[in-house]
Amino acid sequence: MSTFVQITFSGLATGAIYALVAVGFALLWQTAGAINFAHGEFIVLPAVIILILGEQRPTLGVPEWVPAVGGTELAGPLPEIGIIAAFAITIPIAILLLGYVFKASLVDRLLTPGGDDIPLVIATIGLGLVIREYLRLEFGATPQQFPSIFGTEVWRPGGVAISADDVGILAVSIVVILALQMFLRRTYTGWQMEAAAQNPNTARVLGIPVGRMIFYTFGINAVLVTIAALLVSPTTNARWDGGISLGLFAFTAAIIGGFNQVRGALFGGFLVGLLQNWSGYYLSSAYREAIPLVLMILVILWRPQGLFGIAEERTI
Amino acid sequence: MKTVASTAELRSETEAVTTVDRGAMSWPLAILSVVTTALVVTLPLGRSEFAGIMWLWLVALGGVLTLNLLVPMETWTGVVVKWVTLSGCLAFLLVFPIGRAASTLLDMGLFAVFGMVCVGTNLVHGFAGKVTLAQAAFLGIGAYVSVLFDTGREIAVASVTVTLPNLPFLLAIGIAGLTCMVFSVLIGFPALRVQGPWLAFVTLAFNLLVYLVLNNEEGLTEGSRGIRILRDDVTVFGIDLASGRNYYYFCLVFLIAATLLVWWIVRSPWGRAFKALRDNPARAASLGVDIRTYTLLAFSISAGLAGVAGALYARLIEFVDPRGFYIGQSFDFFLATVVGGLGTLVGPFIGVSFITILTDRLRIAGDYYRVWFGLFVVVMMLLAPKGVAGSFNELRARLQKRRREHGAKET
Repeated sequence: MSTFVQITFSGLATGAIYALVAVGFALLWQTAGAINFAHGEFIVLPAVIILILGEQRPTLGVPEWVPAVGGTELAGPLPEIGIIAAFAITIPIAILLLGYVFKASLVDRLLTPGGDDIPLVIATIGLGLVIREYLRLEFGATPQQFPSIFGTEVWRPGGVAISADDVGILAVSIVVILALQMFLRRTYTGWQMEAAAQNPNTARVLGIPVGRMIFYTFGINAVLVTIAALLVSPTTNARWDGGISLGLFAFTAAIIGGFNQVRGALFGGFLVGLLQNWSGYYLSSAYREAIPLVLMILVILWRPQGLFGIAEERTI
Repeated sequence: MKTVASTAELRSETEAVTTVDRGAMSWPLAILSVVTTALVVTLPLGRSEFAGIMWLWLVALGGVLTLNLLVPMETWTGVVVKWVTLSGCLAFLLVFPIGRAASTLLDMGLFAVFGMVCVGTNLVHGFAGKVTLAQAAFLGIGAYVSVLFDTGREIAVASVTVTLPNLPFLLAIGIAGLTCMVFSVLIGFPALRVQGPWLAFVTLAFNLLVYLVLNNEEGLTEGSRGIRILRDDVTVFGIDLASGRNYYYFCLVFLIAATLLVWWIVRSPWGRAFKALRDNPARAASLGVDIRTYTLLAFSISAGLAGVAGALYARLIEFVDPRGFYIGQSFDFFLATVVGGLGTLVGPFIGVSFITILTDRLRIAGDYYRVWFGLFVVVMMLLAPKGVAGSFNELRARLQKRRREHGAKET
């Protein structure tokens, strides 16, 4: 029994991360109709940036003769700032790169209203290749250890081993998800985003800046992947090709839960995490990744809109 | 069927006239496109013998496309130019491997094998309009099936040990292709219900499942250790395939056969149904085209081609292990087909040279070619989403239209 509780708990923690990523995925699909095949690389990239900023003391290209500002020498390696501070710096970088630049340079150009979504799919596959290969060359092919911000402690209440990392992941994810739900449901901007997602034309007529709302979604997605990067990297390590399976499982979560519903993506995320851990322990550790994939194929066969999704009528 | 054909043709006519203007061509994009194209095209130069051959091949194909662009297709000169250049390309592939090093011949073999896969991908995506990202899985299934059936191996699945027969190589190739077709029907029947990106993800999931099985069923596949398999005892119709050059020609025969098969399918009523399907599935369905059967057919033919390619691949590199059949390889096949030009017969031949150069250069540490190739794909989607050959076709349609208008004005 205690083993089951233990496995379920760490499954929930894994699932929480998938849920975060899947929600970002679903938001992009809802509001912009964009599908991002580089989504997994969008998690690896912030992880690497956090790691470099926080621990590896990068050198900026500042020449020696530049005078010190406020007591800090600008030339030479940056001070070691720790993971949390690095995370804080990475968020605006992620919003800029993975939000603004991604939207302006690819999504806006490739997604024409009523057009085909395949060019964007192809371009994001290409983008994923670029990020993966660039990281492999610049950052190295060996996985880099990523410290957990919650420490490595393990508590044993009543014979159940529960790690601080899992507790922290679960707590942070739930707070983030609740905050996001509050934002989407309770604030004026959240309503506007919802309106822009449901019917862009009507929203525009009502004076809602649809373009800006769509940008907000990309921003939220960038923040979500950065948080996911911070949470998932201690277990997966920061590795150049980690994005392929992360992205695939986030998508699996989204399609199992239902792509057009935020709560569907949430549910799917937790389900995929739990299934992976349960099947990994009770069935076969070699096939822990296989069960969610099989479930996804079954869901697509029986209920293509997902377990929680609402069937969409697509105009031709 | 006649009506379908004519609507499809009508559609392609109107499409050619109303080419989508992708709008703002900004300066950064222009610079990026020039830089990536230049790098992707020039980087292979002077690196290895094979890269040099591929470079010449790309230049030759570029020349062929330009010639066909300039000479109007409707005239007799056009027909002559088309056939002369086509046979020139064939001669290129036949003559160039003569007297090359073993490593170059290996890469040329990869060109032929991967080319087959891309020809299949092109049938599914370019002609039937479905995105498939499971080609590496089918390549893998084909490779392992052929290895299992023509070496007389003992396999153990779930504590049952079976000794497999030692079949002739050609028969093993056939079994590999058929097995892949069976798998493709099993996966395609449910999966082809979903559209575009969803299908892409389902096929990706399938690819990962196949990879996991190949990696973990050690009794069947030796897992990540891989199976070493030599080519020195393989003869087909009395021809010894041990030498690199003979084996390359052997693979080339299959590549040409695959191309002819796809060419024939596209020309046949099937192919017209495919085109109708790709251009407007709803209209095709309303005209009585059985969408599901036709797409499934395209999907299984492409899987069969990938399976045959897999069987050839195993004997080409004389070693199979699951890593060669991971998702990344499927991405490569897919991007190659897209870059070459979807729905064209030359497209796969252009695209595959990029990815074989990639494979060739992967052996060099710290090589940026893959990064540039990825950027090249992105830029191509932004500027010329129809790929190299597709853009030439578009240009030709535009030229034709101008010529027609010009002629109308004169008379």
